[in-house]
Amino acid sequence: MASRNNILVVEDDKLLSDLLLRKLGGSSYYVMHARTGEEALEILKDNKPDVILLDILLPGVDGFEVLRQVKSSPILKQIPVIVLSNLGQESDLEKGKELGAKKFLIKATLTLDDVVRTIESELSAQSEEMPAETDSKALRDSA
Amino acid sequence: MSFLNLTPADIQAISFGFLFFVLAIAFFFLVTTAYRDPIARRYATLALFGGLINLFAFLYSTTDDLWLALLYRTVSQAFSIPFIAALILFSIVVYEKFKPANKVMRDIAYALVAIDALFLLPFLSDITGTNYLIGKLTESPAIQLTPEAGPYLIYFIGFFVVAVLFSFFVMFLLWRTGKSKEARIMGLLMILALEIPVMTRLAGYGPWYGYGANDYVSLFVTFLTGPIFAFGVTYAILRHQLFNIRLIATQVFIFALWGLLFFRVLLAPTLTDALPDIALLVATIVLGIFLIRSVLHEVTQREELERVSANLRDLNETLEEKVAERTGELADEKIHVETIIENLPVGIIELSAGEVIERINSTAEILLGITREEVTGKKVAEWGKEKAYQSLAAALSAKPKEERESAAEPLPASGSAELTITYPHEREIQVQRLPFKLGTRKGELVLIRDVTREKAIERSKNEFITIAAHQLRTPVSGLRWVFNILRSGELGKLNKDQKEVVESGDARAAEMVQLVNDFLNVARISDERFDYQFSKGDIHPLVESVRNGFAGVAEQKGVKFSATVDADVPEFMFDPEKISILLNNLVDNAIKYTQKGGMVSLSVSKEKGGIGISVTDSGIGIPKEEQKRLFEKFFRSRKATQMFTDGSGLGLFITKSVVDNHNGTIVVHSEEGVGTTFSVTLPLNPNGKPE
Repeated sequence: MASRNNILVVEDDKLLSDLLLRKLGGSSYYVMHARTGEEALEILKDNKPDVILLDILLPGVDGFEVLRQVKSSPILKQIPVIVLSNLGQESDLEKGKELGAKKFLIKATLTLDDVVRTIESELSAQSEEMPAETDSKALRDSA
Repeated sequence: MSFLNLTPADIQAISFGFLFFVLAIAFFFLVTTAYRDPIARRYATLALFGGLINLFAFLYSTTDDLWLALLYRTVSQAFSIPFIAALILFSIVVYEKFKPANKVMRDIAYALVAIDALFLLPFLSDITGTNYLIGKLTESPAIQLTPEAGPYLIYFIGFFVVAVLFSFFVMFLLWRTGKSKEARIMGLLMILALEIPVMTRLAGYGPWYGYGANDYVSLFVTFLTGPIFAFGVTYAILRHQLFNIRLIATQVFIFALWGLLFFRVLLAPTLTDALPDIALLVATIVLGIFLIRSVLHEVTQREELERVSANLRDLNETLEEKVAERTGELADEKIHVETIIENLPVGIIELSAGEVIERINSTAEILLGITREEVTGKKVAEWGKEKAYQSLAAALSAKPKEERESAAEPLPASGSAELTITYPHEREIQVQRLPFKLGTRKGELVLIRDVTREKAIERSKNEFITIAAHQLRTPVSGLRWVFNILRSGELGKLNKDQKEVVESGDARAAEMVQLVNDFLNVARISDERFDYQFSKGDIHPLVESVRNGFAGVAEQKGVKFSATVDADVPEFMFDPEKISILLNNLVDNAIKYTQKGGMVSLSVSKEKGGIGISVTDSGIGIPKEEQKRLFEKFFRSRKATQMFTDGSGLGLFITKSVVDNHNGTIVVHSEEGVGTTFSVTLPLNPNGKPE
């Protein structure tokens, strides 16, 4: 059964999130949206998205903290996290990588299509790398 | 022989004999003791002639032969001539030793000597019996004290007086007008020891004219002359520091012996009686001379020894002074260097090979909250967990990155480690270890720098860049995405005009992003090497990412783009982030300024000086006159401006800065309408240290 992949978009900027939601929603994904780090963590308590699109500079709990919590949770740590930020310093990239982000994208240098392409490649890599995981998920979904 | 029964002739004979004896002793005394001294030599000459005068006068008294007696007396008087000459010249020599004689004085002296020499003629004539100066002798010398005075003798006596007065005057001048104390003493000395005895001796001419022959005046004067003369000589020798008690004692002893034997010989009734004494006298003279010479030799040697030892002492003192001086200088130098070390803003701890703290400067004390009294001489391992030493222990146990080993002197510095200490205050410090080797002494200098402020600045700068990046890029990103969505037609298909407007809007938004990126890079690199992070690495991934990053753009533009790395390119030291900026800038420019159908290639190869990176395009080219200014901040080529009105003029400035901070070089070859090549050469190690 071809299930719609769940994506969590964590983005505080209204214009950007609107555009992202519009784009992704139209591309056969089920999209959840969080405006703050707290909101994201709240959502993650009950949901296990297939990909997380994560901004770094957020009001309150920042993206790095969200990333750290995700990666330290046994349930959530397998979820690929794509950092989508406008920070681009070496130190930020390193920090993101250290914390376990799959990709570190800089918004200003990307088009929305690039974002969609990255998500798709992440998802397909995920299903190749972790067939067992996908199987169990499929099992659970069918159940 | 009772003294009171002496006849005047006896008295005269004794006085002549005594004077001869005194002068002979003085002569030997001076010759054996002070022959090196020119004044003493002239004094000896005077003593010699004076002695001869008295010897022949004495001989006169000892003979009954009238002719021989007259000859003796004539010869005795004739010796007055060299005596006078010696006296005059001696005065001048002594005077000139201290001050130059004026011309008049010299002329008078030479005139007197010439007149003196003229008197030799009548004396020589008198020997043949002319009686010009020395008159007849009619009675035996035992009765007639002197021959009769010749008619011209009075002139000779007058001349003698003039000569003595001249000599006296010269010495008087020296005494009264001498510049130095020594000169004045010498003048007085000569008057006492020479002029006065000679003057008193002039009284000896009394008997020639019938005065003083029959009383003891002559005897008294004679006996006065001798001691004065002897006193003068002794005093002169003392003044000249020629005195040596052993030598003098020897001489006095020998001369006394000679005198005694001499008088015994003279007073012997017959020659046969005198023979033993003569033999003894000869033996005494010979032995005496040997004795005096040997003592003199010894004295000379000792004097030499004393002189040498005095020299040595002087030398030693000088040496000691020099050593003291040098030691003082060294001590000053040490204080100087220590003061510098003490006041350096870098904390310094010197460790011996056994990890014992040898010294520590005040910056380190303050930074680590310790005092040198507490820690010097102690082993690093002894600190334990005491709070007061925790910062010291942390600093000393910090393991700098990429430590290297080498036997070279000085040993190369290892990398630095950064850590945060909390005692006595919270500070961020940078620790660097410098191993050193001085002769057999090995150790390590631990340099501790307080980088709290630097770190704070770095943090605030990063914060600024973060905020700027976010605040500037986010809205532009939004704009670009809006244009993206509109272009994609997802929100409804656009007509041709709409699409054109949207596309140019997107292009402007893209330029805006580039501009913001450039500004951020300039802000980041403006601190020079402050935040350059060099590490040894492979350039492949960077080139790969450039290839991937620009493939789309190039294709869109219709430009053929290739990026290659030669297989033999080794790993080298560079800052990946900065080199990435460099590659992006060069390739971005190349593609931007190359028209459709052109080509752009990036190639990395191994070169003699390190790593060569070259970016070649077949673009519009850069006018020759503008090539020099290419790397200036905000500079934009005229042609480039025609092609794209926007652009920050920062890209190549940033590129150049990155190259400079890698100690590399960048050159540009460009021809208008043909293309441009930027060639960058980077050393394998930007710090220039051999691997």
